[in-house]
Amino acid sequence: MEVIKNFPDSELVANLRSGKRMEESIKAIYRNHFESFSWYVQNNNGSRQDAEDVFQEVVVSFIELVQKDKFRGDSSVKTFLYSLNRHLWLNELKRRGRALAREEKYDKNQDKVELDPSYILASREEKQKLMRLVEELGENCRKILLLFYYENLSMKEILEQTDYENEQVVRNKKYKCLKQLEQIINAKPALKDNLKNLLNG
Amino acid sequence: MDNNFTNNEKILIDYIDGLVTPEQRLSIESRLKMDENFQQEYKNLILAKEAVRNYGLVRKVSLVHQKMMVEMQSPVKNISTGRNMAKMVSAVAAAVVLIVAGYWFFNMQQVSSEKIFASNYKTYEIPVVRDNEQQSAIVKAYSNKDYNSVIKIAEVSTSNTAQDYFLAGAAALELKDTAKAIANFSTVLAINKNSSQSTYNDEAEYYLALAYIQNNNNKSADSLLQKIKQDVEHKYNSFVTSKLINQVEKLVKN
Repeated sequence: MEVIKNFPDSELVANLRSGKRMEESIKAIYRNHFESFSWYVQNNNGSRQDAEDVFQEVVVSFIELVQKDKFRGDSSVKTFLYSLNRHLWLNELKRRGRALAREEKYDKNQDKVELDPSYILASREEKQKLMRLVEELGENCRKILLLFYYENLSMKEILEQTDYENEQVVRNKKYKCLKQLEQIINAKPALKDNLKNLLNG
Repeated sequence: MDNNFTNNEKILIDYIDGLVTPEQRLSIESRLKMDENFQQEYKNLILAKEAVRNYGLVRKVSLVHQKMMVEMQSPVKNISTGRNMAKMVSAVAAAVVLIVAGYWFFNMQQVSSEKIFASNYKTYEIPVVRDNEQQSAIVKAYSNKDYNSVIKIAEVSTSNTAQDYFLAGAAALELKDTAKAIANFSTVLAINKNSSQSTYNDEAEYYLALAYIQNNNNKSADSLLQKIKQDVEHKYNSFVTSKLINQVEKLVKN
């Protein structure tokens, strides 16, 4: 049976930064904040599905900011997430062409922080384009690159999860796959500039 | 290895991965300062690496999201203390009536849901693969009906493909772990929603509908079945009969 774990802000941020106990930490964010943030979206012209989509973006953006050391802890995690949620939802409404600013309803007791301009948050379309670029790789390539660069597994561990003959074969495959992705990205120069901002911004 | 793959690229990737010796590192860093093409190649590879990391993170959050949406469908209520005796007696009496009525209603609902599920469910079978095609560990486990291993393999990694999540869902359904089945099938649909590809989408929709029926989430099952019925090109279109839709609609009305 799963033990429900909650974390103080400092531990939560440390987990997200190191990538350790990632699943538990993301679950803690959902348990602590999803319902109230969902309420905000649904009370401001959004559906439950909108609230779910925005919250996923909030969590991804927050982890990216933490991992790039852009969350400095000037505000609590809750306040920061609330501001991200609000910012992303207002952007989405603007994209849909609705004048919401004057109608916005929110919990007046809720603290807010103005997001630092350096917190560049890419649009949903830009993120989806990035996802599609990686999807252009075959499944085997995607798997090897994810195991190595996202899950930080060693060649030996990757070998155990795949059917390649030995570690050298896996290593050679990884070289080719990263190069292949680089070529996919290079083939789309307009998208490449957006990607630089999105990933390194 | 590909002939077009140069030593420059290989050593740069090793440098990015932190796999070079201190001497190699110094040599590479010195060349990066002087050689613009080399520097551009380095930046491109870093961008590709970051794209993979971002993809992994989005997939990870999407997976946890699906699990949490299932978890949050089962609200937990706090029990308050300090009621006075009169309130307690009337609450207990009301609770007994509700429990009896609820038990009767639940049984009725359960039996018919179970019946509908049983008469429509067939174990998913993986299409036969060619002899020379490599099978992943999860496919092998599923083919051997080792459903616990299928779920274990899928849970170990976050680099699962849509097929891996689908097989984990199908295995969970075999083991009657409906919540896990729903989470995995929903993940397949979420992956496809964010992707240009549509892998195992039809399979996931049909088996998700059946999992919903088994879970008494009949409204969700109904809307998925209606979708499949309206799509004549859906792989499972012929499986969704009018009789099945009528039965599920009755459950929704109850």
